[in-house]
Amino acid sequence: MSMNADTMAMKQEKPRKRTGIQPLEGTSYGDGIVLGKTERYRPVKEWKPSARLFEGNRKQDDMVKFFTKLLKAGEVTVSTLKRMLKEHGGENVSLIQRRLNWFSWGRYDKHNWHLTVKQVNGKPSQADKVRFHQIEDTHEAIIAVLRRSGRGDVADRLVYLRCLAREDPDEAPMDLDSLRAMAHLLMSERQLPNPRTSVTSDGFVHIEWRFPTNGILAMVFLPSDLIQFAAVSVPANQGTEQLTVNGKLPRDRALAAVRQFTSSL
Amino acid sequence: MLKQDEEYLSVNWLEYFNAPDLTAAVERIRETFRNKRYQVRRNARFTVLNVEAAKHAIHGATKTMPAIKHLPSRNDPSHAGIFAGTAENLALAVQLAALVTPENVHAAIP
Repeated sequence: MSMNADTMAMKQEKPRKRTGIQPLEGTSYGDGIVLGKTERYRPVKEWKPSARLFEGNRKQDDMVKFFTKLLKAGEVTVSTLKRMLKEHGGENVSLIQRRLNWFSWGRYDKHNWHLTVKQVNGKPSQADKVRFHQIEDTHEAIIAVLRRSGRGDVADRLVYLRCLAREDPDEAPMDLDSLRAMAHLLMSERQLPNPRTSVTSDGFVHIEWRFPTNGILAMVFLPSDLIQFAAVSVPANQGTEQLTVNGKLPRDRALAAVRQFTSSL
Repeated sequence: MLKQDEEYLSVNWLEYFNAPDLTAAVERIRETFRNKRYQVRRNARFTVLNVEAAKHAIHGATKTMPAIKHLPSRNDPSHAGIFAGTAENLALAVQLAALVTPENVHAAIP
């Protein structure tokens, strides 16, 4: 069957519209480690926040539309966008933020796509060096990021644990969000030594460190970005005063609660 | 750590066997696990804890003294359970884990 020129043209893929933020491809610099490109986006022109975008009511409309598009495409997280607005938005920030209605976009944050916004002419600016990890939604990708960030032992252990779970039908598979939360913690708290890693019966990642005193600090990464933690400074049978702490808190507060223990690791 | 539907932490009462020494008692536990057809991995370990020390440690997490009961079954006569109430599971696990030293760890498969 022959095909005329019009039909052929219709078969061609429609080019994707450029949105301005580019996921970096396998590069690593500063504090950021960026994993390989996603299939979801094509390389697009990097977006440089322009002062003109923040001027006048009409431009404000454009910005709201533009940011809405980015959020909808999952190309930027709410937290990243908030930070960019704070840095570049000037006086109109609060108005734009109100119009964007952050709450309704919260669900996009779960993908954890923290994209680096580079300046057009090259190196990331100081403002961009916050922490940017583009972590894709697979166990393998997260483990690869850990390996690249110098946590090879932890990565090996995670691979082993995943193999065990595959072999044993009674084992719960490793929870992806839990793994991602653990990876974020180890990559942001680089002063911490590699922990011993296991998986709970529910599939949540469990890490622990042992102190020379035989005390232990343990963390389990739960859904909703909560960390369950417990620590003892010495075993209960030592006859010395035992410092203990335990609870279930969001990451930063959990880290603050166990600071006394992590500082001695 | 306890699973959601578990009431107690399963343990084995070593003295039940009247074995001449600890090594022989641990061997009886290995035998029990084999008889129960439990899947034991090559890197699995048993740890031996003193009952009083374990009770004291659990008390550190729960503030109540746990009950340790002998719960024999047909193919596991030394089976026992630690009933530790409603303590935070991880806090309890950490207290018990802190009692473990290299000296009281034994390979599940020698």
